[in-house]
Amino acid sequence: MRTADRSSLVAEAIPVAAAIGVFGVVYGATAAAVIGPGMAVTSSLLLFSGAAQYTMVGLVDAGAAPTAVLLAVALLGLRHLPLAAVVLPRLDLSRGARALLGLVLLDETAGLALASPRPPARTMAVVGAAAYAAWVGGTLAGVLGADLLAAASVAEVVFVVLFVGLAALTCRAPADAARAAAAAAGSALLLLALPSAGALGAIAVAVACAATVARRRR
Amino acid sequence: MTWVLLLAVALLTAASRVLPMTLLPVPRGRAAAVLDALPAPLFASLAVLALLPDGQAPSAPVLLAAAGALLGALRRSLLVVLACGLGGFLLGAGLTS
Repeated sequence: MRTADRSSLVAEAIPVAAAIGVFGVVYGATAAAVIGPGMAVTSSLLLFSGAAQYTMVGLVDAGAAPTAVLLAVALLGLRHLPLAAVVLPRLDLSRGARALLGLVLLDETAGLALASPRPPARTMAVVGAAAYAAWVGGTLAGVLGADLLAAASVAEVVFVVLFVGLAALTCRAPADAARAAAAAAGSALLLLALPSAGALGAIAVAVACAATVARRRR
Repeated sequence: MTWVLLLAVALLTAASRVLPMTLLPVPRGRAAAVLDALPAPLFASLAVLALLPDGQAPSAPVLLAAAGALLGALRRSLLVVLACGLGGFLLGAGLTS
């Protein structure tokens, strides 16, 4: 990889790693109080999934049974299906390499892989490694007592900003922007009327918007 | 919380990532067209999901952060989007404090 390519790929990874690191600090501080410092850091090393880890800690804190924790995490894992389906056509890799890359399959890595002009597999690998380091480092900082209040106030906003940026970067034509606006409006209506619809409901709205416009194209 | 439960959750999470990446067929035809159109709506929906946690209306600083991010998105650089978003958040926090 040329030096210019490498530095611009690193520049793309920085905002993602920064956002994930902030959330890691909040997770580390929160989880250490519930499951202990050792298990909090180990969970970040092994899971690398904010949604699954926050859910796990929240349910454990609420006294839920292990089967409830496993069911909730399994349902959250369903969001990886559309992500993989979107990324796969752009990856010309062996099954083994796809499995390895799957370990860093996140909304953010998939988004940058789709938006970046660089090879998607390389983008996913570099951004995924940076995000993993930030998540584990952030968790460790949170466990060690980083300023939770400051991190929590920034964490409230970083993913909103990050996903707005990824939506904008993946718009290649005005029609993409129209679909994104429709999905945002539909998701807002759904989540305000039925908050329990959550991530799966929002993903369903996005799929419906993409499918409707594709039908019109024919 | 036991180490066995943590390992089981870790295995489930890894499987939910690796299995679709290895077993899903590469989409063709109409499915490919829909998936090609999916990224922008998907990330827009996820932005709204982050904006409305538990269906609660966002605070003014968070709304200003989203507006700043949208403005920054015109430059098509994630770093600029993040800077504009955080700028909007700080502006909102300053105005409401």
